[in-house]
Amino acid sequence: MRRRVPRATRADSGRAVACVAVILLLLSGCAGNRVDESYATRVDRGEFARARGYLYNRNAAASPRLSDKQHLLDRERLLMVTLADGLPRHAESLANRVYEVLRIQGLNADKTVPSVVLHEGVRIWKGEPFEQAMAYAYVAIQKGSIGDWGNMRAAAESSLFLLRDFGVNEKGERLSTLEIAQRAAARGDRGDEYFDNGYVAGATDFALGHALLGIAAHALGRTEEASDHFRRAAEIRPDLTPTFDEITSGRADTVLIVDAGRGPSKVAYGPDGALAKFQPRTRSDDRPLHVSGDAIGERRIAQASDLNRMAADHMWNNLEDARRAKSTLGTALLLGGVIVAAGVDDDSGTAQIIGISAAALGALMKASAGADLRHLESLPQRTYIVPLQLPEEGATVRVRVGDLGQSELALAGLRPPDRTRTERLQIRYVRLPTVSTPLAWMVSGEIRYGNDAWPGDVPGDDLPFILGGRCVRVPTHETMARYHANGRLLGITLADLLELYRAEGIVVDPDDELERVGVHILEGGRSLACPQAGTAGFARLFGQEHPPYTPRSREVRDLAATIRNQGTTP
Amino acid sequence: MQARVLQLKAMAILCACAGLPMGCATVQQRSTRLTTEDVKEMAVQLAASMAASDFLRDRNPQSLRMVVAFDRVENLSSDVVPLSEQWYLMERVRASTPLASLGAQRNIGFVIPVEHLNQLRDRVGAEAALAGAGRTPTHAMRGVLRSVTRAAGVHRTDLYSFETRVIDLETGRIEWSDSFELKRAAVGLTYD
Repeated sequence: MRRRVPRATRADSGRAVACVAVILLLLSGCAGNRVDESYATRVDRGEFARARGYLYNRNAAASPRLSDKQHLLDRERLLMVTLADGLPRHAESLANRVYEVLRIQGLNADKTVPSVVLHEGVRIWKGEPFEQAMAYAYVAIQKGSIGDWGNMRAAAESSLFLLRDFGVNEKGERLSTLEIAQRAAARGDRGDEYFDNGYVAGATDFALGHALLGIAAHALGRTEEASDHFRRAAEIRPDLTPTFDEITSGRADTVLIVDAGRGPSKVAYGPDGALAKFQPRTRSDDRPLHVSGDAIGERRIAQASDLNRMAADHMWNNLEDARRAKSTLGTALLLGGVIVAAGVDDDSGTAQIIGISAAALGALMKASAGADLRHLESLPQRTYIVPLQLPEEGATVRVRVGDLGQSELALAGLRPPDRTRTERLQIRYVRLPTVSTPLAWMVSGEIRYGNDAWPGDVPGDDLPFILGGRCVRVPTHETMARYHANGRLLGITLADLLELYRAEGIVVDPDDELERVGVHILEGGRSLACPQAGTAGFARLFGQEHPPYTPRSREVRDLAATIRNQGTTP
Repeated sequence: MQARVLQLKAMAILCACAGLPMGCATVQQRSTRLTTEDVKEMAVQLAASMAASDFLRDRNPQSLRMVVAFDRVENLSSDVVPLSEQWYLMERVRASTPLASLGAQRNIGFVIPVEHLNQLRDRVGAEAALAGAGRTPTHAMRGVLRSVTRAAGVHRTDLYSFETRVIDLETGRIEWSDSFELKRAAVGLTYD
């Protein structure tokens, strides 16, 4: 005899549907973004300040809470563009935070179940191991760029963590993540053991990390340690030997770290797109970096890293997608059981609820099966290490990848380290834009505005930019003396000038922007933060013409008009 | 009844699924990095050791004035220690009770080089930072932070050693040195 069961009410069904909707909302809240094209495009064009402004406008890195799943990703994006803009001091707090989070072990330990059952996007993003190694490298570069060699050494050392090597397949090829997932699935209940113990912990092949550590050790006077790491890097990339010889011999006083090309993008593949792999956006090749300049001749520099190659190797992936793919199979079986139970009373409201639930869960599982595709889209495809010996008077150094003119960048105003401070080495980080046609500022090699990173004179820099001149130096006694020596602003004191800047809302002390640096006044912002010479930020800011300044305050407008119309010194 | 059970089961599954994403909010932090408390502890230990040392024990208010200039810590450890924290560590040594109380009793001053006051200002404020400015040093106090790392599986241990020494700037002689060790261990995947 078949028992009649009470029909579920329409309200019950409604509640179930509402529940499903809530879950979908929650899931969508947990899933992260993939590629932020608006950000990536700005980075490609070398518009690092705009990329930074875009991120800040989007409230990136606004939350200090680590539970914000984009916490690290947004800070790494900001760190990269602030460094690329030639502002390592302003990247200090970002670098420190990135390092702090990277060093947290088991960051997602309590996310294992949700990520396996639902979506990997519920995890706090930490990046694949190769992204983490690069993040450590950027922290090291930030430290080196401000001459903090001890911390550069520590950060570079952190990038040299052990890797998990699952070996090769029957054809002798490196195992793919799909093959690793299949091998784990074939072990049934013991699949997780394969993930946890089926590998050999191997030494890293991150030549860039060894090279950065060697540079830091050399700057600290730890020559044996430097030699050890240069030797290890040269074992991985033999073409780098001449580069390291130049540094250890003491012939180099400046090292450029040059990033070029677009790093690989993360795409889904395999069943239901449950697995992730990285696809090249800039193809790998062995093109060297051409370096030339009047004072340094012409040279070719070999690559120190190729992110396409790293990203393609399972050793440089965390295999969380493979672990999930293996587990998804078991979850699907569980879902099947629920659907069978629903057949007990197929004309009842209860069956309807269960049917909705099962269908919704099935849809959720399928929708959430896709791998987490968040990644640091601004990573380069390759990195070069360029040792230079600069003349006292400074030099313009041109760098370009192979024969491709669009990858060219002229670095004006590069000067050797300050000998009076017994600095034996300096580092400059250079991010080459990735554009089809070279932009004017990339190749100009000129310095068109007086600034704090270049002591030389520039025509028109005897007057502040906000008053119609070409000087964007921070107003100081020295700056005023320069104006007065040229017979300009004779009736104005430093205090008066500072008031004018304040009336314009311009931040007169760049140290006030160490936590969050704005857009430079040359690009329509309110910042006077000056990029280091020898960076892409310096070239973009000072190597091209900008529209004249538009005063916001009546005081500056009137004074600028007086200077312009009368041609006299107020 | 059976239908009711099934209904409840269905709702339970939905609720379980709804509850899982809530796991997003909880974060477990594990790291072998030095903490502010570690820095304070090292500073207290070293100050106590220095105050009790032979180097200072025989001094009195009539002794020739000694001005010890603190240099920043040389970081040779595997941990990034921001410059402001390095100066903070030295400032904590200077301000620790055992040393702070010696100033008048043994005619000693401890100063921070004026060019590095900005780093310290970030941590302890302008007043404290300026307190040590403008004195001519007779001695220098230098610190070196080192570490040894051991990692196996999900376990990582860092043994830190903070070594300080006071050097007579005229003779170059090391007047006093001591070190303090600290172990930090953490468990968890390094790149999860």
